[in-house]
Amino acid sequence: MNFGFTEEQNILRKSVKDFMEKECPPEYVRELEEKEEYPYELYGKMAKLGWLGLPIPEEYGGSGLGPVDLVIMGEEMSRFSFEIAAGFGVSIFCGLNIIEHGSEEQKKFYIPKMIKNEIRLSIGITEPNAGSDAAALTTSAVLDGDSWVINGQKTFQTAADAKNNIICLYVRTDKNVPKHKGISQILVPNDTPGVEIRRIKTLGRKMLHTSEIFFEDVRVPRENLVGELNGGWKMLLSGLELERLYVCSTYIGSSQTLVNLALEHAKQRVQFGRPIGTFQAIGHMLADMQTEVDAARLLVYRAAWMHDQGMPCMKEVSMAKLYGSEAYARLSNQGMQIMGGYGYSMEYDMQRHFRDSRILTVSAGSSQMQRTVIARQMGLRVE
Amino acid sequence: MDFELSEEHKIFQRTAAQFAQKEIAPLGEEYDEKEEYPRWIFPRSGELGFLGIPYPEQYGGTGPDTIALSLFAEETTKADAGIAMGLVVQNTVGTSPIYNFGSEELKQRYLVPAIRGEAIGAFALTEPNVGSDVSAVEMSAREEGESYILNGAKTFVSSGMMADYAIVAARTEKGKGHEGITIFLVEPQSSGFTRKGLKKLGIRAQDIAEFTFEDCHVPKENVLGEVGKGFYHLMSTVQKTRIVVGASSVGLARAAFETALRYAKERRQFGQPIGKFQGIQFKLADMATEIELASLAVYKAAWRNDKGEQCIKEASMAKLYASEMVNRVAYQALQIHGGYGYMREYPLERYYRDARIMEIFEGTSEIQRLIISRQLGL
Repeated sequence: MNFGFTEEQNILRKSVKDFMEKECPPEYVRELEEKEEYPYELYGKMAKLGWLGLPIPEEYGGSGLGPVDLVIMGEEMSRFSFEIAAGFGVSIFCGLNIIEHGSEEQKKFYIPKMIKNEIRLSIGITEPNAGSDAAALTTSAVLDGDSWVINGQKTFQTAADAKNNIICLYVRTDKNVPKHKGISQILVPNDTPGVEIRRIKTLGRKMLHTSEIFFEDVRVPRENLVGELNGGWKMLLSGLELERLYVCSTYIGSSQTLVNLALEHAKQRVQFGRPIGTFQAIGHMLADMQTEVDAARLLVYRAAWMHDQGMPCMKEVSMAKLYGSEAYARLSNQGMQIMGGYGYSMEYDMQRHFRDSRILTVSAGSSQMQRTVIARQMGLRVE
Repeated sequence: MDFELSEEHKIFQRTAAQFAQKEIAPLGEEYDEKEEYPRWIFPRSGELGFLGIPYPEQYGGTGPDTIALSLFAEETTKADAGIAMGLVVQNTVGTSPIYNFGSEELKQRYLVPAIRGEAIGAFALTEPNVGSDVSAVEMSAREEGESYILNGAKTFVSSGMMADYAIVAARTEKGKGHEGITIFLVEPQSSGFTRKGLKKLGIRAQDIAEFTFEDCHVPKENVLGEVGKGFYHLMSTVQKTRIVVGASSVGLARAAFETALRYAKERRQFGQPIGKFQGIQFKLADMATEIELASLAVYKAAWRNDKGEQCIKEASMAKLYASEMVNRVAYQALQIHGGYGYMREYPLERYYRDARIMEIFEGTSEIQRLIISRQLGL
């Protein structure tokens, strides 16, 4: 057994922490959220340090970090802002998917631009009638000469309306085969004529934006198809372990920060002549909370280690996702309780954790889907 | 044993439900977004007799009737929690200290118009350093001639911005803990009084304010009850408010549950309505069970209160269970809706935000547990 990190990993953790402390203080996060603005500037600074390429293989201009390093980054960034850590992942995992399945031209064209923060990438899967059942998607692409002509609608699209964003769009290219076998991935710049993006108001995640996208006779060049025609479902699933792993890492930093906020309040807030943290009910609540954060963190670290060792880890990643997202929501609820009326007030940061955490048991595979995956990995043929 | 509502209560419930669904429900989304209270709901409610449910006819009321008040809170909160809270405050802490402790003159001057919905009352007890520990009130009231001079700050004041008068607890004797607190009736025009609205996560139609008093003069005839006995006065009526918050929690839970049940029957994934999956079915079964249990606890406590029986423990149990229940139900209702639940276009995220205050105001869950423990002899 070894729960330590390498020297390089410790340095990585420290440099992310130092950077975020300087560039992403709480006031900055509050301001961006209040204005509902995408963190272009902060990602620009990260790009200058080469961070947007850290997980990208060296041959495409990156540094080729492994899963454990990626988890360290996600955890440390999310201590300062869940959304900034989440948005960081959105582009990078689309980029990694292009690297795995795209043509050499696509990789050379898109990846360096992404690393330099000149373009962003977002993923387009969910539709009004295709949520957990993603393979039921109906947005279609038909070849017309040298162009794909796309029609349909996507919804709940994270960060799709950011400037210079390319949507990695999953579309139906064959209606006459079983649903998983007629899906392809096509790259669609979000300013292509016929693409209409409408912001959806949401409870949280206000910097990154959530949108619905309408496609009406949208034409993109034939070469924007990624990989094999009708091979989209496999692409959608490939790299999922690593992506989900990163997503989980963003829960644990945020969770730790909110526990720290609640702890600080419990130490300072005096009622009945003593700090409320000295009441057993509050002290025990905080003890449970820290235990849950540590449990969530250990599940993520274990899955990251397994991934790094090349072991199959879908079950472990799903457990980390299920537990971490539900823990973050539960913790934000308890943190708010400890802060009482202040927790409910918009002047304090606790309510942001409460709002941001609530989507995490739904997005990137709902808790129900994670349970189904875990049960199937346990040999149960859960329908 | 009899678990039926009386004929009169059934008629009242129907009338309240109709009013709530017709006149409040359509405003919910808009006024949440605007963070503003539709003030005309007050005179309208007064006209229909909905603001004097705890008070006798001589002041224009229709009660006292805790069961009816609970039914009203349940039905209006089901329509919209933010708007309902304004009406609930007016029926409880916004008026009860005047009715219970005010002189006849103050009752005529403030309670009667409040029951008509022509004057709105605020209740100011909490301070920046005084939350659960009510006996720690720091705001001072100094006697000077025919007045008291108030200095200090109040926060989380319900209906504070729109109020025509405020009921304020201040300390008339220093260092005496539970003793030495006095209740005052303050008009916002008084010199030295300022107020500021606060932003909050939910119940956003309802207003909550911060009050500042700087040498604010209040005439002596505006003292409610006995000087120095304010703590005991206020604590003597908290049960009723707790029962009512329990009823509101049940109403909000029913709104979330009914929306989720409908959605589970309509939404199809993997070729069938999601309500066919056991994972979703059992969630809904649990939600329905919990709502039923909370409702039983609330109406039992209300029934005891109306009979004039002791119900401190029952009121706290009802408030504790119902307020925690509505949070579980709102959470699961949102989960059943998936991404749609997180979107402003659907009411689920609003229910989820609104539910969260139920466990915090009118005595946090922790305070309810404390009271129940003490009632158990601990």
